[in-house]
Amino acid sequence: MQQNQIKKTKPFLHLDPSKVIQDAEIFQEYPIQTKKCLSQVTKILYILSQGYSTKITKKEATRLFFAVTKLFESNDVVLRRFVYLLISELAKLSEDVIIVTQSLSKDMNSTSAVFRANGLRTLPRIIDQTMIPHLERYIKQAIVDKNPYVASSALIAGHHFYKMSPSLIKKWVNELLSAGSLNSTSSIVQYLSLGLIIRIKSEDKLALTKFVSVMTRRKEKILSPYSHCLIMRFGKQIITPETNPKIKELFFDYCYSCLKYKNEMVILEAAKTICSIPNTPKATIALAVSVLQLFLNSQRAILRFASMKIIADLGKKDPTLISSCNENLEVLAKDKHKTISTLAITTLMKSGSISQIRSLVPELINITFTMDDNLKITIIEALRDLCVQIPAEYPLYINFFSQCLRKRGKFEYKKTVMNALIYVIKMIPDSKELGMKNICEIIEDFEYDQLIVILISFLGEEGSKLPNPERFIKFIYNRLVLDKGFVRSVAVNALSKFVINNPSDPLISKKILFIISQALNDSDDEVRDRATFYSSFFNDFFKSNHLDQNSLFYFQKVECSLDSLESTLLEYKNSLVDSPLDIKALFKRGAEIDEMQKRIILQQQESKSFNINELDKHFKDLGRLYKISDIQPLTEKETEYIVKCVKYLFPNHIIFRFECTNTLKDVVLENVQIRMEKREENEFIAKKTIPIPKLKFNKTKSAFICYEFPSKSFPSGSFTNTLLFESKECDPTTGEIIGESIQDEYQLEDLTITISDYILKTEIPNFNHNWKIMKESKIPKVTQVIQFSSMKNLQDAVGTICDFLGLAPCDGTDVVKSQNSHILLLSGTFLGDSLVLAKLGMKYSKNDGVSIHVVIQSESDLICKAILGSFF
Amino acid sequence: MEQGLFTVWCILLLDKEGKRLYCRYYGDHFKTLKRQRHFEKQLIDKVNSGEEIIEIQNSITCAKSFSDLHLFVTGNQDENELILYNVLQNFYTTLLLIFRNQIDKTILIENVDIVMLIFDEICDQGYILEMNPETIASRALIQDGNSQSNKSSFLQNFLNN
Repeated sequence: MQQNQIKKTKPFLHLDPSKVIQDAEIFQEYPIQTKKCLSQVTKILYILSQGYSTKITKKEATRLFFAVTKLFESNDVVLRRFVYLLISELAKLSEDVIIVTQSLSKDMNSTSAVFRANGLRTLPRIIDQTMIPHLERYIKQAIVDKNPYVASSALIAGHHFYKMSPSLIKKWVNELLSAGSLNSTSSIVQYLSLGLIIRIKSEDKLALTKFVSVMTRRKEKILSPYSHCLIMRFGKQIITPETNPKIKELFFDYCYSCLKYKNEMVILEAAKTICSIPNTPKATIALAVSVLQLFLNSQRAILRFASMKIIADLGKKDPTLISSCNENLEVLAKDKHKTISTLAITTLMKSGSISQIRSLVPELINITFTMDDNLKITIIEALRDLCVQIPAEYPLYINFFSQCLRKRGKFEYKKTVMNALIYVIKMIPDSKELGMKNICEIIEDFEYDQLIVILISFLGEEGSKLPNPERFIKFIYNRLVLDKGFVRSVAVNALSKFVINNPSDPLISKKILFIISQALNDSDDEVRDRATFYSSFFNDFFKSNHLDQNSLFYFQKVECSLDSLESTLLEYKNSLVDSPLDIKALFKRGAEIDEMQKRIILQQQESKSFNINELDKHFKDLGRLYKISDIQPLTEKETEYIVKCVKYLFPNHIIFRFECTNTLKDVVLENVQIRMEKREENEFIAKKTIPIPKLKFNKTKSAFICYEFPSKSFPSGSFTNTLLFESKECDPTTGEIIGESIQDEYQLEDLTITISDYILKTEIPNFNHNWKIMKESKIPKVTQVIQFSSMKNLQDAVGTICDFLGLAPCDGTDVVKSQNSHILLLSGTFLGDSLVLAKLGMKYSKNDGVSIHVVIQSESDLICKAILGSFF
Repeated sequence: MEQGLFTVWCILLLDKEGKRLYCRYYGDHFKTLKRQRHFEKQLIDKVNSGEEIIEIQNSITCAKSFSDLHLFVTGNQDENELILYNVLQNFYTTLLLIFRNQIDKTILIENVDIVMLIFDEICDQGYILEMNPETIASRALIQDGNSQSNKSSFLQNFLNN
């Protein structure tokens, strides 16, 4: 037979899983051959642990499970122990395991502790919660059993059952609190029952608080360090700002005593607890830190690590809390365990003095190469920030980053280093020379194309501005000769920068033109295209011998997103204007559209129920959307129906979107719309109304009304609003409509349209310069002196004016510095097109209030007047 | 983190190459064999470079190397490391008590049944079941007052077979 061939040694080498499973037939033989069965069970357990447990089929597992249950007929303790081991293992893989319940309950009543303990422990894997009540009696008895083996097994079962059915286990509290359990002389039994009680009590904060205070008062009766840790871990949950100070004090006292406990596990947990409770007084934290400091010096790595972790967390919160540990951290930075040294280093970066950090850098550079990528990234980023703080020491950092880039590494890591290098070079002008030299070497051999192109363009942009730029050309040229098409095309761009940034150097220009003309025959389309563009451009340049400023504009950074640039180009193409294309204006317009997009995105986040595309669905051909207003609530927050309004401004239309929410559980609203009535005659003409067909409970939908207004007119006006709807009662659970529909209405707040609705706040930099340009170009301008006798000070006047005009204050003039006079500078875009600038000279005197000298400049006379008109 | 007792995610006994001698995963932290193997490989790489405490993703592992074997105990990264370390130490001390100083791969594989029982007596589905190495050892050897068998006969039976 197979079993007889087992060698004395290595019985488990080369086991074939299917053979092992097949050989389980031996379990069926009668009488039971204890030894052979035992060896067979062991083999099955072994192959399962080798990974077979994830491969075995349910059918196979079930067959095996049933076969092994036969072995319950033998009373051999060792065999039974292994049968339990296998049953536990197979229980989660098989079906119908419930069949062994009877054998288990028989064992639970056995006289043998081994039988009882194992029967109890296996139970939760076999039965479901419906069967707990039938067996509860035995388990409760076992919990208070004198034999710790039995008691702890029963408690473990209790913990597993608690996950299935907390309410049943809650009734065990009396047994748990009894002498045999919580007050047991066995430390494990005490720990397990404490765990179960705390778990039961933790659902009721008051009960938990009470229990924890009782336990902290009887701390000398607690036997196991595990139990202390458990009490602290749950105890900290009861500490909130509202906790009774007495209880708080009691708990902290307990933590202090644990800080002095003889077992390090408890000391650590106490320190961790103290540090993790929010708003712990600094003095208390200092106490914990001083204990942790001893651990930082420990011979044992685990203690150094565990304490370092807490210190690192504290350092993230507030570096001053751990400044006393800085010297320890300096030592730990050189720890032979990388996990410890890295934590120490990253922490010291935050808490250490500059001199401490500086002394760390060489060490850091040494260890970084042997670290994990994630750790490296953390350190590189810390070094980057450090370097910018101590700019004089840039060579160390630049050389280090360059060294990192030359060694092999994963993409993310290399990208971080590259960005750090570029960042440092940008921030510290002195470092450019060294930085560029290093970049030249780095690009000679670099493994990631996506990154090398960034380095090449950076070298082109910045290198061409340094003295003797021609020395860099060779390095970029090498890329043009040796690299892939994608890289080559970037190299062409980078080379062109040398001409653009040095237009008066004929030698450089000739050299570049020569190189670029070679690329005209490149095999790659993109390279050829770019080379053709630049060579024709530079040839023009040589003919006229100067670079025209407007063309130079092509090489500047596009200051808006490409999408927006595209739409401005389309706008230009479709417009009837016959003026030549003005690139600058396009970029400016593009930037405005970007700004608009940002607002739209912001608003989308505010009201998730609305998608801007819905507007397109309902209203077509209104032209470009100029402005979206802020959301304005038209009801109180806590009403039955919540309505908010957003205004959308188009060239000749304004759309009101009413966002309605139904908060009534038993009502469905139908045909929901808003009736807007003019308060006085105005130039708005109602065009289209779109109601909400159906609005169920807790849903938010939008109704729309569109108004037209005459062009070249910017009317203002106010409206009273009423919510109209048909309400129907419905069953709140099914949503089924029960009652008749009733016409109803609901009064909303008023809405006004003022001049500010036509103006987009666009703050322009350098106001005075723009003011002057506008003045010189003689565009329309209006001037007026206005008196506000009711205003009591200048700051209030500034606030009010900014609000109602909807213009953006420029150059920080929204803050009034003098009490008597102030100049307020305002700018904005009117109907998305025309720049409006306003200069307000303000004076204040006690008798006359505020008087304002207003000057408004804009491309259109109408706009100037409209704005001025709004003052009255 | 699970509310309640301290939990262990897995206990692994691997040889120098990372091959399993015996191991137990608890809970759902490493469900597939592929993830388990990947995790074990990462641990072996780290421990071979001299680490005793290993952080991988959201787990923390205490490691102990002896003779030609590695023992690992893993838990949640927020766990009190000393608890995991304590479980590790208890395991190792239990091995010492049972096998004296002759712990190596060959011995343990010959006695893998005892090793299985040590695993089972230390931890039940992630919950710590016993913390005293002497108790663990005597239970793993099934030295129970009521048992009809004891270590010598049990081992003898097995080895002679």
